[in-house]
Amino acid sequence: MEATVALAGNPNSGKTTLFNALTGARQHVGNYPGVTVEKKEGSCSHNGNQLHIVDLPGTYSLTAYSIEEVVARDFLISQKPEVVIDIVDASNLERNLYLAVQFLEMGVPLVLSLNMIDVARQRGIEVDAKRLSELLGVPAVPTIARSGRGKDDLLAAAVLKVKEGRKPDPLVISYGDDLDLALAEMEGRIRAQSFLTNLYPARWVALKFLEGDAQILEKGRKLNPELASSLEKTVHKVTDHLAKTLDTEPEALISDHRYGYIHALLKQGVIQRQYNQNRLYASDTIDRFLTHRLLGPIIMLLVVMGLYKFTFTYSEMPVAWVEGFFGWLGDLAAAHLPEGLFKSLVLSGIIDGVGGVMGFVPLIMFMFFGISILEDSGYLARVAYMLDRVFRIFGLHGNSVMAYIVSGGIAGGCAVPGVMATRTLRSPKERLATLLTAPFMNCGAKLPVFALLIAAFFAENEAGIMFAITIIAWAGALLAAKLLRSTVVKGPATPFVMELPPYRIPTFKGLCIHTWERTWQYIKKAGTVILGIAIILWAMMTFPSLSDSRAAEFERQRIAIAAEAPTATVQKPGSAQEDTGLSAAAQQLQDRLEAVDHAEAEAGLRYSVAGRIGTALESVTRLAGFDWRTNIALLGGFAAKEVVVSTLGTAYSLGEVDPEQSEPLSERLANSPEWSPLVAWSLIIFTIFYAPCFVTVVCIVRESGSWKWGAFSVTFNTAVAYVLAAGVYQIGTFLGGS
Amino acid sequence: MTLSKVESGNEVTLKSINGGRHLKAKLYSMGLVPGTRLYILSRENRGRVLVRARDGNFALGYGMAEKINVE
Repeated sequence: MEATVALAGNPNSGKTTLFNALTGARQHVGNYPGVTVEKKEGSCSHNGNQLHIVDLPGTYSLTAYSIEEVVARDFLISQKPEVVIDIVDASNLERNLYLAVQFLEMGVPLVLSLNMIDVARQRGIEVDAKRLSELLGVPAVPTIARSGRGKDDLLAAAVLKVKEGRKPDPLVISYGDDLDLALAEMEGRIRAQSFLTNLYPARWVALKFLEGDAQILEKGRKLNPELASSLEKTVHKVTDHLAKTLDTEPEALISDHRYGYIHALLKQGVIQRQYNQNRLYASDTIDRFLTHRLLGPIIMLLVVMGLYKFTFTYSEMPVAWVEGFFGWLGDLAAAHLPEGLFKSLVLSGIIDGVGGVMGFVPLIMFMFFGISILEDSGYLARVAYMLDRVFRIFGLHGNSVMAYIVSGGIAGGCAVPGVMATRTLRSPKERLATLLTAPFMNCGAKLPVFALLIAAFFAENEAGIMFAITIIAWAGALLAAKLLRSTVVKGPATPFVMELPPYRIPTFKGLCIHTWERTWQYIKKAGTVILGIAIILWAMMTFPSLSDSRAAEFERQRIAIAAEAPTATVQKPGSAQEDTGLSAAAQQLQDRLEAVDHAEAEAGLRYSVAGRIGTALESVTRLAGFDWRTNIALLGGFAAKEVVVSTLGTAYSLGEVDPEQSEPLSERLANSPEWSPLVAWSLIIFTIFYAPCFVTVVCIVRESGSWKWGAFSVTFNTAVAYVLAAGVYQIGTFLGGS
Repeated sequence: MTLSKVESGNEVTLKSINGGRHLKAKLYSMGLVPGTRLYILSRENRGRVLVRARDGNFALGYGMAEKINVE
């Protein structure tokens, strides 16, 4: 048998953990069609039954107010999964059943996973799964997703439910006399005209009309305007009546009765508590410290600093291994490929370009691992709460914090999902300010640029510099947000509410899956997009090649130098490695010949398309300390930020006398006379702030609904970046820093 | 009295929410409906609060706490 199983549940109910436990590595991430909500799918088998598992977005409810809820609802209607597994947190049953009850009202075939039954027990809560199952009329299986306990029973229950194949009758809850009367009357009319009943149960449609559900109202108005408007009239009447008699409105009454229904159910022997519901737990005590007004922010900064220390310290060796591997690959290609353009493409374009980006995979992996720990333990939610206070000052919202962090607030995210994460912001103004400033965060693609420059110039204090870079990015983003909020996107602040999940010790399996997912995306991008751009940029840096007459001129110089020297010394040089055995005269000759080669390579690069563009920009960028090679790299970085590293790799490799001599790019930069710690700082600042990559700009355009904002972010960000970088460079030079 | 005024360590009952449809629907779905008992875990500054309700912990900004009437 084959079947589709949807996983649903509240945020923090352990849904992702259960999904990982069920599917292991057999999962992939995509998007729901037409919207940018992440869709995770996987498969597993149980007793020879093949199950396709879809992870629905975590939601509290099934209203049309948030995109996640609409996505979850639409999936159930359009894809008709054979069974829905609703993961409910057994230690938090009352609030988690609120969603379960709505599934039942929709008439969805349901199996309950009573998750975190161990946590519930620790908290003195005993749940009688059998009793709950009897009362709700659906299977309820106790599980512990973290250890995988109860997983097989859960799948068995799901398979059984599929085999039953009976569409359950929708659950009917009483919503009090006034609403029940209206519901019954509306339901009758809906049934009589088969109004949307091919998709939804009749009573459910009536209920949604009462709740003023935007999506259902719109569907209804399109399908049958007459009936829709008469139903709306009924809703109007009831709403007026409720306002007059009970000083309330339908939605409040509906929520109240749903909770009432759940409360009554739980009291029938489902749940037994040892303690009062609002008793304090270890998690609350921890929060006293971690979210303390003064201690909290200090701990937060220490945690981030610790993460950087961890990342740079432990990734050093594996990064050296990967660099060594690409060095070896380069030597291999140099030895076996015939001279010519193809060799140049492989060595300078692919190996020095893409290899430079790939070299940072271990570093990225360690960073993602650390971030996964912060995320899975529940600490990031506290960070959002603590920063909400700061964000208010700058005209942003607590939910902006998450968008910032996803974009790379701790270093190593991506602005694309970050920009999409701004959808959780309801105020369009706060949302716009957030999505325009989120790209200032240090995404995983900027990280190699920083790591490269840090390794070359600030090797003695890697974590400290990374920390400083993070602070600069945040300060810049917040100030820019304040500027935007007090000029182009003025408007009031919206209130903030968020559930804080209890602290949990992350599972190793979960951490590995999350780390690998993100690392794999980085590798995949380097092997596809970055590879393509590296090849294009290599071509731009190679063609047109020097004219014959200029090449001949360099050749003449070489011959002249050789002619000046005694013939005996001319025979000797050739293999650069053996310079120990050379006489002083031969050494001098070799140096002079190399100088000519170097001049020719550089002239060739300057003469190429990219070289000309880079040189043309030099008059402007010289103020910030960037030479033409850096200009090429930064232009390439507009396609994707990793390209800055790969292009510098290619540029310095092409400009090199002997690209087969593969010393790491960071050493090449450190030894180059055009570079200094001050130039490095200037480039770091520019990289933090300048135009977001192309994909992010497209995303900004889509999310803000206008090309204007895409263009704005490109020009505004680049202008800010240029002014800051030039400022740093000029002041630094003035102060005599080098 | 609004939630923002309640000192930490007190337990109060949610009475009503001043806000638009959307805000209310969101709070309701999280379990913050009229009649819910709220225990104030901490209160800072002007009235940012951490509350415990129905087995969950919630962080509410000052603006939000101002919109919630309790007794």
